Amino acid sequence: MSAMETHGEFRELVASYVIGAVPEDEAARIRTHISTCAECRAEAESLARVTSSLDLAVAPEAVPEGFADRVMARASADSVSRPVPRRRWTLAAALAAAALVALAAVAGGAWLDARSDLARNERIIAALLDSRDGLNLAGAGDAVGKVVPRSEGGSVFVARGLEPVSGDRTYQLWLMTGSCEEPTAPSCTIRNGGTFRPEDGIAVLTSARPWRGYSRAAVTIEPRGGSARPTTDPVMISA
Amino acid sequence: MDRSPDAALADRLMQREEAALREVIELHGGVVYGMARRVVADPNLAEEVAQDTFLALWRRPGAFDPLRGTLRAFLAAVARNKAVDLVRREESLRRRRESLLVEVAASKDLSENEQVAAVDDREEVRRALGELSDVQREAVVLAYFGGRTYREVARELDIPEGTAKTRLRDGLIRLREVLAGYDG
Repeated sequence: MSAMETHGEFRELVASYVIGAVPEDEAARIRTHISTCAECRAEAESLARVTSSLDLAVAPEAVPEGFADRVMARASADSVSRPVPRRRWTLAAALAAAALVALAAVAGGAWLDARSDLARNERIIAALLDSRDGLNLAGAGDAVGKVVPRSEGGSVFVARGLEPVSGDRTYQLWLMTGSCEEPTAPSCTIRNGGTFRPEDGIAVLTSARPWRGYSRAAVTIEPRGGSARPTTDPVMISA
Repeated sequence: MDRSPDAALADRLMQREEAALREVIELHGGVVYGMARRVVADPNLAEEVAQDTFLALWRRPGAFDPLRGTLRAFLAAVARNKAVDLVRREESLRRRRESLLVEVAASKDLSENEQVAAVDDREEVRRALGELSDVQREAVVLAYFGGRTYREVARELDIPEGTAKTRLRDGLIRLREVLAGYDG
């Protein structure tokens, strides 16, 4: 293509671009054009929907024997060593009060580590720790924490007084349902509540996941990235 | 809020519940493996692509957004991207061509569950593909499932590059018309 590419030339290429059939050097120029040309952008979006529907035309094929087991073996090996990436949220400290609501609304089920926004807002932490509902966790020294159900349906975990952990370790929250006087009992279901690293001893995690009437909560220290199940004794646990 | 089954599975994956991953494999293994087989000739490499697709979901469940589409469509797209990346990377691999152009009949070994969930829109898209002219369909299939650029399509079909571009364009526009007709 010449340097004097016209709108018409790009327009001819939009379909090839959308279907992934344009070499990378040309694709960069088309992207630039599309970003400034409403007509080509609309056409690209429309054809992209058509193109992705082609995936549905492929007939399923029975997987080879033992396929699921092989995937699960790799996934299990992965669980200990690899973190599930979490999205970080950085909001101004002044927005901290609103942040709890906003984070829970957009989190889509993931527990979010919001300490960087909220750590400085001692009043919110104190109010959450003092709220009537929820599970109180206690640990060594001054460490206290709480899991609080929120009226919108999500939940918040706050804690303070936590010791720092080394770089290859992380704190991990566990939420239990069932009869959990003895957390190792089969009648007790333990759910991963998310990993976190405290800042100035403070941690805040919010989740849009529905509160499930948890019977107990605990915090352990796990290898970086977290574990599928607790592997150490709790450093904090609710009564 | 009413949670779709896909959204519920995504939630459980976020909690790293291995049983949820196994359910996803049972539900969508056939689609993912079928896509991998369609693009990659070698069955072992196709399995690798299919495994990597599910592991990608396990490692980053947040990449799937239930509001933007079904889990099945998401996994099919991931599998296709991985398979196309593989055949592009491994130029030494014999790319599929003849078999790419043959519509693969649905396997009889599929679970009933999969058939019921998949058959409607699959038939619709396949019928729509059938509405293209032979040369349009050939270009579209080579580009999309074969990972070819329009230059490679032109070379393989021994046609000018401009003609390859035009066939891709006319093919997608025709598909859009036909699929829009099904909606209305």
